[in-house]
Amino acid sequence: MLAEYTGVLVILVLGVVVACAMLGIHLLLGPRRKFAGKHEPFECGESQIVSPRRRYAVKFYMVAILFVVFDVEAIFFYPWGAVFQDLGWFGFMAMFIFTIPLAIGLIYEWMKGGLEW
Amino acid sequence: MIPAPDLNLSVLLPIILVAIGSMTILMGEVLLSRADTVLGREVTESFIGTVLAGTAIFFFALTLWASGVAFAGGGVQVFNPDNPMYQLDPFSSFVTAVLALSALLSCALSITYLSELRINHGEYYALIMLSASGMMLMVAAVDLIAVFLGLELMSIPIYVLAGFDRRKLRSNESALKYFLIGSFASAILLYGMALLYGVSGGTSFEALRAGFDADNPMALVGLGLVVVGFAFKISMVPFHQWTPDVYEGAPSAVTAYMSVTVKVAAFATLIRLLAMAFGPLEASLETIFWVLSALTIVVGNIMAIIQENVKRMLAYSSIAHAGYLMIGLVTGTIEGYSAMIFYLIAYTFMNLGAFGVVVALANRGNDCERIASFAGLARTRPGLAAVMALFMLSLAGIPGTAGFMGKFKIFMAAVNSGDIWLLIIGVLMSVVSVYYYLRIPVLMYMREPEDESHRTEIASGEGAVLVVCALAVLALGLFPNRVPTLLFGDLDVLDWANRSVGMFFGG
Repeated sequence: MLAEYTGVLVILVLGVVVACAMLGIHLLLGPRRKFAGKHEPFECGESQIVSPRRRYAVKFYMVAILFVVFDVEAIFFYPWGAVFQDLGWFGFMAMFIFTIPLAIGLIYEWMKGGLEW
Repeated sequence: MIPAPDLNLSVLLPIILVAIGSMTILMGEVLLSRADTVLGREVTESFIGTVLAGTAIFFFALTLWASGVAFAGGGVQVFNPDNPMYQLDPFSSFVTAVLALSALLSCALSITYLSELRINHGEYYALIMLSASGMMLMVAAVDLIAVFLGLELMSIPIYVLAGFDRRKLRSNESALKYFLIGSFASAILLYGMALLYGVSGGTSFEALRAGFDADNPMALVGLGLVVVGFAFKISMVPFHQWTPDVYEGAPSAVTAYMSVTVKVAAFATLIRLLAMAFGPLEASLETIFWVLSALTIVVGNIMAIIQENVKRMLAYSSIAHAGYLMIGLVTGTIEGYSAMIFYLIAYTFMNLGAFGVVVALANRGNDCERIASFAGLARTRPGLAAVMALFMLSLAGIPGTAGFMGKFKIFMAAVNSGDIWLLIIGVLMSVVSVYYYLRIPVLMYMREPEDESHRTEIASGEGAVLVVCALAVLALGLFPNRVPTLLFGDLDVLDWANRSVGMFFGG
């Protein structure tokens, strides 16, 4: 059964050998000269003028937190919608009660200014 | 048509009450902060905080009453008979009552402290209520999934609370440390639960008990991982490293809350897990708990000696107390479990009281944290010094206090089940603990005051909490089987503790 995959094995081995050979040949034969230009950003782009390692405001985390409210809602609403008729009043009331805390979360976020950025 | 399950909502009544309370507070915070005046009073930040703290206290009092009524009624009810996830029984209602009481006291303790720090927001009380509802879910759970849900609902708000003083670096550091280590512990716990599920084919405690095979290495690994997960939460040695840092960095009022309630909830869940799910395994578990308990008692007490910060000292002392409590788990008898429950109640009052004094001394957010700053307190603040001395004596286990009664019951259970060596370690280390506990009364009464940086007047909420804790410590120490109260007559706390765990032994 495994014999069917011999071809795949050959390709895998060949791939590894070729990749290693390519890198190895460069390592052996390539000239290595150091000069200042090599430490510059390569070819494209500008040289940096300020350090990129500083703190900046990530507004998107607000969106991410807000998304959780709707995400959880959606996860439960899809299967609920699929069997809505079969669940009857019990299912309706259960979902109604479930949405109340979610709605409160949304109202809280909204009134506290979480949606203004 | 899918038949509607036959749900028994009264089982979750305490939890529903607390959850409604937290949502009410969130909405109240939003509405009040938009209003200018309410009933002719100007709306200020501390006014909002006080009103919402009152709301939280009201809901906790309701919960306390509801679970008290359920406990008096006795009997076992399940939430959903087809799939028993939560169970209302004497054990869960009693522990829920203890949790509600300690959360109520923590709320009353926090008001002035938070106002001084300028963080008296409604969210604080909403988070306290959310985490309390998680604890209550956890102690009522009879299914691993329900336990995990409760554990996360308990932990996540506490991570936020630890960093509630968000302008302070130390508070942030404490929250981050607690969050990282806590999530790590949750992952370990979940891994263990998954293995247990794989072994027994079910997540309910009943299925675990039926399908558990102690010869299967996978079952033992799963059990071990679950124990490690809980060990992180109740800070057993060697899983205790986070405790001093988190307790020190969090605002003192939060430390008071989490040092008490998390321990009560996690120990109660462990008792239920051991009694209901792993009954047949006690022989192999006993050794694990024996070693953990001995290590926890020794390391907790010895490390507490060298601390110079009150909050760190109390953190190590809480580790040591977790060690004493685990002696009850080692015995595995009804006597041991009921002693644990009694000890947890005693610990609640004395530890809340000790942290309460630290809170009451904090001056405009500068915690009076150095042990040396207690010097001469008896002269400047005689009342506070007296209750602090009482709490320290109780934590050390001096007769006449709740701490002595708790230790006595625990050690008695150890004697009766033959764990003499553990008893010897416990008693010897109690002697060691007297040294660092009594340092504070010695400083307060026998040294001259050195700095006057602490607060000079006490707020009514703090005063009430300290008086309640001090009276409870005395009453539980002097007459544990008939605590006199004005409203309810004499309370037999020892009998309650017995009755709450009796259900695990067919009582």
